[in-house]
Amino acid sequence: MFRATLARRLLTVLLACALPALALAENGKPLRIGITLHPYYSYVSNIVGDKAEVVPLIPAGFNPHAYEPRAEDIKRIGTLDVIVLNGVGHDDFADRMIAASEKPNIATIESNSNVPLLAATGVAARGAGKVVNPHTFLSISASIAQVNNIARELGKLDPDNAKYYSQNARAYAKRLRKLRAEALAQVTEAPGAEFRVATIHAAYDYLVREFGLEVTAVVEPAHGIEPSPSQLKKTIDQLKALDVKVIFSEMDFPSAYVETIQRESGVKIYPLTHISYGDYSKEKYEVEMKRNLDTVVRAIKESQA
Amino acid sequence: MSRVQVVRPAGAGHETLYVLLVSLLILALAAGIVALRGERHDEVSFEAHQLDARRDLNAAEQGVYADLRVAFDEIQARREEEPQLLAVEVLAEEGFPPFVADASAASRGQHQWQLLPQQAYLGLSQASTVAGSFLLLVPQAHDGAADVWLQRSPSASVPAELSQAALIAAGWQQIAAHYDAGVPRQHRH
Repeated sequence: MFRATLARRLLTVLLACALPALALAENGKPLRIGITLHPYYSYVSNIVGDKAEVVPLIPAGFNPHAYEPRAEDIKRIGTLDVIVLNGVGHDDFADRMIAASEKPNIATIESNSNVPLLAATGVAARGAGKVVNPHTFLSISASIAQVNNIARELGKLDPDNAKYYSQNARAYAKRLRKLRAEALAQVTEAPGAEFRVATIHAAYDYLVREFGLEVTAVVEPAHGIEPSPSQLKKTIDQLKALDVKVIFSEMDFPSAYVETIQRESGVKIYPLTHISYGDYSKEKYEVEMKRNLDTVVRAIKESQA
Repeated sequence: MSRVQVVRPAGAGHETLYVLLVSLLILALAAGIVALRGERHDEVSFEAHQLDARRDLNAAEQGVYADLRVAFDEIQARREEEPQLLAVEVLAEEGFPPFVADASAASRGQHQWQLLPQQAYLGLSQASTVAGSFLLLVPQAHDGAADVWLQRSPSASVPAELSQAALIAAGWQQIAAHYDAGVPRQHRH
């Protein structure tokens, strides 16, 4: 068993050494970089500028939570040089696609490899306590950490442009930091411990942590699954018992039961987006994160009014 | 003109035996494969002086810790241009949390940051019940890793010495973060 592990490790090391050479085999051609989720399209586009091409693995319009790989999407992997992964649970479909593609050993970048991760909350936490919350892209800090990481790894694959990538990454990080600073500047008085927050989808822990807040309860049993009437009643009782002040709901999944919760519990609901829908664009992450930050700020301010 | 075909009764006894044998073989094979290729359950272990960034820190501390790591990336990047460490005031001016005093800093313990002469940033918490005090040790090499320590005691002060033993003796705990890939991918790591 030990020998098998050793052999596997050796193979991994050898592959890791060989991969950069493979990626640059087509010298002179700009890198074609695959991405799995919308925020990563924005990150990578901002890092590489016009020096590389960013290719989404999933065409726009598909829901990454319910995506089943299609033949043409798997085929496209054969044309890529490297794939940037979330890697902590939001794009597990990518592994199967890569394994089935013409390039099963394509280089991958683990964006979250040095990001401090949070444990999964709610139902997703079942799984021997090793399951992490994969929504690191919903925090400015964790996004900057990922952008720096991606830029560093891309620089290793494409040393000629390494400096350019890291400069772009830092400029992008600066813009992201500004977004957060502008939002926080509107909060004149920090929310106290009595400002309790619940979310519909267990995605926003990283986001509210930027404000020093913690998610007290998660309503949805699993992503996109509506609670049953008895679960709903339990949730409403729980929200009342915990004295929750604000619920952050899902902008992309408007649901009738969310209104029921608002009506029955009297807790105010604010919609957030987790940036997984619509067209891929360079600006998307900044635009949607600004909206998220503004929504959280509005929730804090209105609770203080 | 039909040919008469004699169908002999099947040897039911033998068949049962064969089926049993085949199923035993399959079981043995499966057990062998599982034993040979099974994944060990690697639990990350922490030392006595370490805290798990994911489970042992509260929300405020997790926020400060994540921000410190990002600020550290920038501090290291600047050292390539200038070996001097960035002053706390510069980091605050450029909007780097946790050095900047904003609403988020206020709700996370209002740390007072200072740059120690021995290449370290110290943030003393003004509300140790909300979050402990942080110490970021900057490595000699500009591509080294961040080393972050936490002390929850309200009497945390400037450490006299920054060696690991001295910090542990003074009540500091090292924050350790580990990476877990998504569940279906964990075997690759």
